[in-house]
Amino acid sequence: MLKISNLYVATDDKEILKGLDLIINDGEIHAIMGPNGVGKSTLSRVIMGDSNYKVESGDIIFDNDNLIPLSTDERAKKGIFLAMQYPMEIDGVSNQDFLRTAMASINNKKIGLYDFILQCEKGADELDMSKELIHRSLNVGFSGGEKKKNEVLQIKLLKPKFIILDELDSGLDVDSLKITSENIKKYKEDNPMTSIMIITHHPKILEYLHPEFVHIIEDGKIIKTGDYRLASNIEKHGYNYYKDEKNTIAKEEDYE
Amino acid sequence: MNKIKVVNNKIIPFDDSSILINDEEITFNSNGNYYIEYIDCTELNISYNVSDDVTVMLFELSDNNNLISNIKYNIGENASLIISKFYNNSNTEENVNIYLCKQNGDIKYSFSSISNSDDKYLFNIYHLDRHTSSNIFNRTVARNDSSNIFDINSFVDNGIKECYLNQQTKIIALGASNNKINPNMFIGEESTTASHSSVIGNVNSDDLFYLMSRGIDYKTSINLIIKGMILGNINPDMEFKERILGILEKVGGE
Repeated sequence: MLKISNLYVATDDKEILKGLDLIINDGEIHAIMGPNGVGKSTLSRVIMGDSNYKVESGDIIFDNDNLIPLSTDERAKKGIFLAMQYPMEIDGVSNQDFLRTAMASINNKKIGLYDFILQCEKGADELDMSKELIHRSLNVGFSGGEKKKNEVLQIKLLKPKFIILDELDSGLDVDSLKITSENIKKYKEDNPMTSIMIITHHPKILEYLHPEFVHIIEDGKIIKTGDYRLASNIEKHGYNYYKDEKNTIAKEEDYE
Repeated sequence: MNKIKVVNNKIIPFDDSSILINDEEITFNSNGNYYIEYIDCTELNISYNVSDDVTVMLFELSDNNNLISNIKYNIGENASLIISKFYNNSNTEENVNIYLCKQNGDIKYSFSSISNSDDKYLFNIYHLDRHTSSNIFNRTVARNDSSNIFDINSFVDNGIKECYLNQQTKIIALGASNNKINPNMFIGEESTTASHSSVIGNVNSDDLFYLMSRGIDYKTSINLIIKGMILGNINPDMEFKERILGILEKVGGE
């Protein structure tokens, strides 16, 4: 379980998150929505331990452990995975080398080359991803869709128990969004206790992954929480409609 | 691959009809791949000549030498020289002179190094005939308080038509190293195409965050980035790669 309490975060002396509270229980899917610049991606990077963001106060508890003193790799080893909006391109670091090192680090043991190749090729097939990408430099020259598929391939190989999808849908065409979403859905079915936090602007991805909870962030904190239907209402009314709301759970009468 | 050893500043003679060895000069008369290792070299003067219509790939390696060197590359008509070079030395002082002597000659020079002390490199690339091309790629990982100076000069005189010049140098500083890149292009001919980039910086914190977010610890992440920078530049064959990996493992990342 992830429990975030009264979280204040700043970067470059600017406060981004201002008292954010959020609980995601094991096995739940939550969507975080909101306009640009309100702190959605900041939230994902703070959970993952990006040192560019300073936690000024508050708690981030994951499976009863305080994450704040832990380094990024230690958080990943606890089972947290951030699928990034803009995965980094690292020239010269082969995707294969990276994936195998990551698997060895997460599992704390080396994986045999044969097993590794089998798992990679199976994952790539399921994602309709060229196997040739596994041998190229990490994300270098990959299309937007290929980068996102490579992120999902990493989920399949590293088997996290808490997944953050930071705008997985950006840069994806309709077919690629369907394939990546179906792969995540299948992963969730195979690992029902895995929790997912989806950061998105668009309800399309939510049609595939169907979150139980939808939250609207505004000015660094959650101003409204509802169920899946809240995402549809956001599409109809826009975020401004909710701007003056207090943090209340959406009631039946809120939905049209 | 043909192997050539240069020991104690001398080329070790060997039988190969495609190569002519004359004191401090090696001439390649037919296409081929060659692995050259400098062993126990301190003061090195050597010239490599690539004959007309010949394509040669050279893999050069120097490990643990305290090296002062003058190296010349002479490239003939329609000839290509592709160099992949790796140094892990102390106090290297190297002058590289590249002569693109005749039309359509080209060189791709890819150099990677781990710097542990004070290293100086001077490159002079002379385009002496039309349609000649030079691509110079230098990558250095500067450790601790090392210092690195790259002076790179390319020359094209008026009347030497349609040449292509490219210089790219990148230094990643791991410690409090002192680094300088001076790229110069002396171009007197307007039909020349030229580009250059020079970068000195630290390991990209976003790259590091990305790797660590996959459970890879800081030291291993740094080592992966270094390995990528070194090997990504020189694209070695398997045997050369294994040798470099052995050296990288020995020196570590930080």
